Amino acid sequence: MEKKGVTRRQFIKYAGATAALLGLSEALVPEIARALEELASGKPPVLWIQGQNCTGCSISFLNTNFPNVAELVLDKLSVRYHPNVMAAAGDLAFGVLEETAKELAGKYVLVVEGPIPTAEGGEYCTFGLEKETAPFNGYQRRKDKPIEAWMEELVPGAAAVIALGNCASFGGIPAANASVTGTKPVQEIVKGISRDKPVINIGGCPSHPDWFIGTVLDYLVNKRVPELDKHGRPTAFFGKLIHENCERRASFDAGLFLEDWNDNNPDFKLCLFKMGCKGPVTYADCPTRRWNSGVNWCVGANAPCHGCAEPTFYKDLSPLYEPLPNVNFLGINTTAETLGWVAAGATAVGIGAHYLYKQLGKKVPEGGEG
Amino acid sequence: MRMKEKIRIPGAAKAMYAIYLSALAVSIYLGFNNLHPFLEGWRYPWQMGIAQTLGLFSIWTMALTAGVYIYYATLGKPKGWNEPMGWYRIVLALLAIWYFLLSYAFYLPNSWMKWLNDAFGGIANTWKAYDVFLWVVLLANVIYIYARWTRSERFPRLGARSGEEGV
Repeated sequence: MEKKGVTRRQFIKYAGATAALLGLSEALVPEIARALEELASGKPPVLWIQGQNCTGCSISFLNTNFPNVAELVLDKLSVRYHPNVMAAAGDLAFGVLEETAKELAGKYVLVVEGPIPTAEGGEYCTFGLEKETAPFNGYQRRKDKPIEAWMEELVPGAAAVIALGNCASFGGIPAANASVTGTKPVQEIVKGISRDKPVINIGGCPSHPDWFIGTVLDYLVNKRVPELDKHGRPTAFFGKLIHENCERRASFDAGLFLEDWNDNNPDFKLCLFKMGCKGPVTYADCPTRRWNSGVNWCVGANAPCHGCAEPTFYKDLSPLYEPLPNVNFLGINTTAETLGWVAAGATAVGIGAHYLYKQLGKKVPEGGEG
Repeated sequence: MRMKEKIRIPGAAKAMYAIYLSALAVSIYLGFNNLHPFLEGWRYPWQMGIAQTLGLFSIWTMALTAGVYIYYATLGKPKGWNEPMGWYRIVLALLAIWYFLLSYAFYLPNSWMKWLNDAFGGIANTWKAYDVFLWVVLLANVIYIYARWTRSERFPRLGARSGEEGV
């Protein structure tokens, strides 16, 4: 710490700020300081691997700057493998993965960013090489190693697995309709390898850096997996409905909705529900935590919440800019309005046909007018 | 020609149906206007305020009328009431009560109907269900009106012949 120019006072301040970040009592500051010390001394090691991802969660994590946990944690956290951060490459880098799995079994945290493709033997996402060789263009070369194989190697020795981002946690965009890669969320793969291995899902597209750092610290302070909701997400960050804490909630209650993007005057703070906001079905603390060091968040920037922290994202919360998700009815996936017009048309046709049938089939009574 | 039986309807039932139908028309109009605005652009707060008040008033009217009707058509049924399709009207009355609960959850999601929002899994799903039931209630009533007309003495005319009551 001293080498980095961090005094004891500054360090305790960091710990206090981290407690505030996590919404914890000041009484826990010493505990957090201890956890940060442990991080600084290189414990526990972290292996950060990437599946079908866009690296957005890594970028989001690296963007954190208040409290300055990046300097303390990223620099000091023993991240033994991270494709974007590490200097090593090739066999040297993959050797670290294998070495950690063997030597530090039961101690390291495995962070997985992006889901796992399983179709075609997992060939849609590979990194590193297998020991075995296979013919390739007339000569023998080592086979590509799919992430699924890495999971089988790394999961058994992991103390805990963190699925970072919506894609890793729930499949996200790669697992949306008609996935050709056989995408599976991390928890499903882990269950197949080691049923009792704890998996912490940190949703979001991308995930908030506080959610990741907070979860790691929580794990270190309490030495156990934090309290999770039914989807495996830490309740500290995913326990509140966005709609309940939204800065535009008053507009929703007053019935003041934005209905045309051309009227999008931010001063009006009109509710974005009718423009596709999924805040009413999304559990996350975005409205209070905000993004980019508390600068803003989606709704504050006049963009509807897409529900990226939810397991139903993207598949069941799309179309993103439609106010209501589609209705699934008898295998038909469409809007209630379309269903309504079709039913109204069928009713009109039925009534018309019945009326004509009654009229055409009517016998003219004798002496009657018909 | 087989003569249709003379249909007798108590005045109270006629009045209740008239009130129910008026309230239904108002609530469905407002419901569709809420979810699929007929006019482009945003609406003024006073318009939305009136719409919400009218919407709540109409669904309360519907629910109360439906409740009274169910009693009147079952336990308190007057003699001589031989109007056909009584079962359909009971279904409509029950549907109206469900529609009242759903509309309440739609208009005031954090009111005493919060439990229904929770049961649906969130306000967005309540809105979706409300959107669907607007159509269900509308079409169920349109079908009833037509079906009831086919059972009346005046069918296929809209008006009764001179000298006939025609209900």
